[in-house]
Amino acid sequence: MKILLLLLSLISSVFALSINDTLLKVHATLVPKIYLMDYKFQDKLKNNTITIAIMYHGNDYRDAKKLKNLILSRYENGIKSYKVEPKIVNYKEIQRVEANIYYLLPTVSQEIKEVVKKADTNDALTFSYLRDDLKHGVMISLNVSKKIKPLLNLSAIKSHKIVFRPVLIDISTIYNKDLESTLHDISIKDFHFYRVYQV
Amino acid sequence: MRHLLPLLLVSTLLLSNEELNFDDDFLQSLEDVSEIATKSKLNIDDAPSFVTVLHSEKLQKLGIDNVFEALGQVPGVQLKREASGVPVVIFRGVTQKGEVKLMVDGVPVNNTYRGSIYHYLDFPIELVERIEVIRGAGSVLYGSGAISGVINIITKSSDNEDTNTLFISAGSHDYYKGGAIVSSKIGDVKIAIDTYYQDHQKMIDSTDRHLTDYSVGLKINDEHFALLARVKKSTIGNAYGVIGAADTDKNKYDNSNGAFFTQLSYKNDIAKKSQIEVFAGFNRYGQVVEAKHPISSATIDASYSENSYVGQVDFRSSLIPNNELLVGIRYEDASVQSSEWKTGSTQLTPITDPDSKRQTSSVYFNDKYMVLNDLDISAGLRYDNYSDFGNAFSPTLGVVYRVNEQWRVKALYSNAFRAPSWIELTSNPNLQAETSNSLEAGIIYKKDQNSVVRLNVYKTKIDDLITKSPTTNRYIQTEYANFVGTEFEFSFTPNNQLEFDFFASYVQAKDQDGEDLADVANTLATASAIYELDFGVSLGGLFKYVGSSKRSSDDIRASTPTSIIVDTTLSYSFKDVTASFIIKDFFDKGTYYALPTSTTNNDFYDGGRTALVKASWDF
Repeated sequence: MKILLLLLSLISSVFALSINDTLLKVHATLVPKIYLMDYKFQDKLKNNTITIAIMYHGNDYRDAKKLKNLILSRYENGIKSYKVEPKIVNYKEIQRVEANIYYLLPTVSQEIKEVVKKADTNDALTFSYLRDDLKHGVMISLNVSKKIKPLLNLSAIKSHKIVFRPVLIDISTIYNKDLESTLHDISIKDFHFYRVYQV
Repeated sequence: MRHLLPLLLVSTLLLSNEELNFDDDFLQSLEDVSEIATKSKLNIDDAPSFVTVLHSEKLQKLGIDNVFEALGQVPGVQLKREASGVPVVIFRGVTQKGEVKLMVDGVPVNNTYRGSIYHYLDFPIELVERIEVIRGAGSVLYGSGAISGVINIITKSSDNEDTNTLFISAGSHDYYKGGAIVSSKIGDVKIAIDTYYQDHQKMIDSTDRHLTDYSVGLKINDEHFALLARVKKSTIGNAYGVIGAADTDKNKYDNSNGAFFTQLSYKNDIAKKSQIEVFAGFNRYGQVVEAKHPISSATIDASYSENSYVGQVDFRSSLIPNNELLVGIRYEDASVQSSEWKTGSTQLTPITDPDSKRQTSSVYFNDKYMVLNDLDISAGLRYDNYSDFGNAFSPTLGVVYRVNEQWRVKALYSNAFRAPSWIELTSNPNLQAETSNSLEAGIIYKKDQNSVVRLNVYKTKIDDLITKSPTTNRYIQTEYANFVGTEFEFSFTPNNQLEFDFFASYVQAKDQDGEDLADVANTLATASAIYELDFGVSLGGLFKYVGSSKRSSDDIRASTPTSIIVDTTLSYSFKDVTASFIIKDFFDKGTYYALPTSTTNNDFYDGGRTALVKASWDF
């Protein structure tokens, strides 16, 4: 038993978080829709297709596949006049993939940062299953309370060519890195103040 | 210029319409997912009730194999087996049959015969998407029997998503299980079918307790209509089931339970933010017992069946700002179809009144009102009229206060009832419904997405509790019983490296004389951990503690001993294939259940260490 515990403690990259299927369904519905809330999204599409790279580790392959199927079942005929193409990508293959949205299943901080860096190069959106990933520069996650609300990392968003429609900002919870994961519900008026204040 | 202006105007209008489209569409999607979250109990901490949701995938990583074992993962729930070996779930110290409401995909499956649910508890976890459990009363929405808990098994085939899975298992006691879920879509119509078969030759304390069990489930639905159907049949062996004698020579004994339900539903929006849902259903339950009397060797044959027809209309609306309203009516017509038994060549005798009929009419409403942004009040009332014993009113009032992002405070008052079962009424036609009054309060602290602490206390008084008199063996109505307890939960996922859960509960269950109720373990505790390695290997550990329980007042033996059981699971996933190796009761401590003194001087031994190998393939 002691040997087993010792062996386990020596393995640094372990992933144990059970993925909640209901939360995956919620994410599958909202991820493509949030992408459409960027005023400039059309400029970034190739072949009128929203490409979603679902980043996974070996253990999460089934969850990644589940999310892909959930997105396909919801958007098999596309969204508005745009096609939606989810694809499953291992974190190790991040450099080989171009996408409009990088969706992150749970991983270590180093790999989150690599995905954020990759998204930087093509002005892609980063969206994470875990809201804690926002502290590593991921732009969006979801806040589950009485109502589901997007959770926006404004400092990550403003450094990209992304301009969200006011309704998204208004309805969202804002993540503030400077306040160490403190979440604030703000109104649109507050948001403008916040934006001015931050910049 | 004259032509240009209208053109500009039209294009501006078109553009602004498209803008509105984007915004409205997005806001509607947010509403829709919030509704999904509420319906699937994703945001349980914001609901005015005390709820546990068990997810199949996580349960399987801990080696849990069926619904009965899964319910042991609910705070305040004690698992037990009767003398016959059939499983019993005790919620918050309430040991009577029929106090827990069980639903499969939202369809109630308790029979009216005894109110029993055990014939569904061996349902395999591989077919389950999640199990939603309300700890405490729920009569305002679920009617009779929802006194100490409400269980809703959501199957994968009913979950409306494409699922195709094959699974097989083999283990100790010649245990085999195999099954599949297949789904397809034809146009807008989704079709899903699930099925399984399981079989074991287990001995309980060296007495025969074999099992054969199968089920087939079907769901066909489109946007508005849904057809659900399930047939389930199981046959189990004796253990100590016939006059408490051990069946050591594999005496002939088969207790067969057959259940079938079908439900057709239609839902549609009838106005803005208002929806109507109409249900029509049919349930059938049957039991056939064939046994050889262990002393006289005479053959015992018993056969029972009942049918029920159900109609229900639900109206939901959030048209009134800050309100979520549900108003519903329900009608159920249940009747005995056959009810007879005999020993040897004696004449057939009815088990219950063969002409038993019960018509139940119900009206209910529940409104969740957001008083302030951080404060919800929920109020509901149900009225039931039973043709065979009268009326029942079930009010409820709940409050949820969101102190801030991390803290929640809840309080709930509820009144619930249980109609006497037909076997009880046959024994004593003067029985009335049991009624309960419950007060609950709880706090929740959610530090972040990775750690949550929940603590709640409750006090329940059940009036007119129906129990079996040990002297006359007849069902009688005692004055009342009191149940006071607390439940604690802690979930922690440090740095995504380890998933750890701990929960514990304490209950004092006392009768009207202040005596502890028999068979109730005061203290329960469970700890579990899941550790996943990068290369597809997962390790699961489950530690279960069950405190000792008092025996009945006429039993002079010492309380039952405490039990500590550790289960371990090793799983390996590669792409769509997962294989698991499970050792239950790793330290071979053995599980013991109390038997009445009339049966044996000892408690019965439900086996020790067992092994189980499982594999599944998603395609």
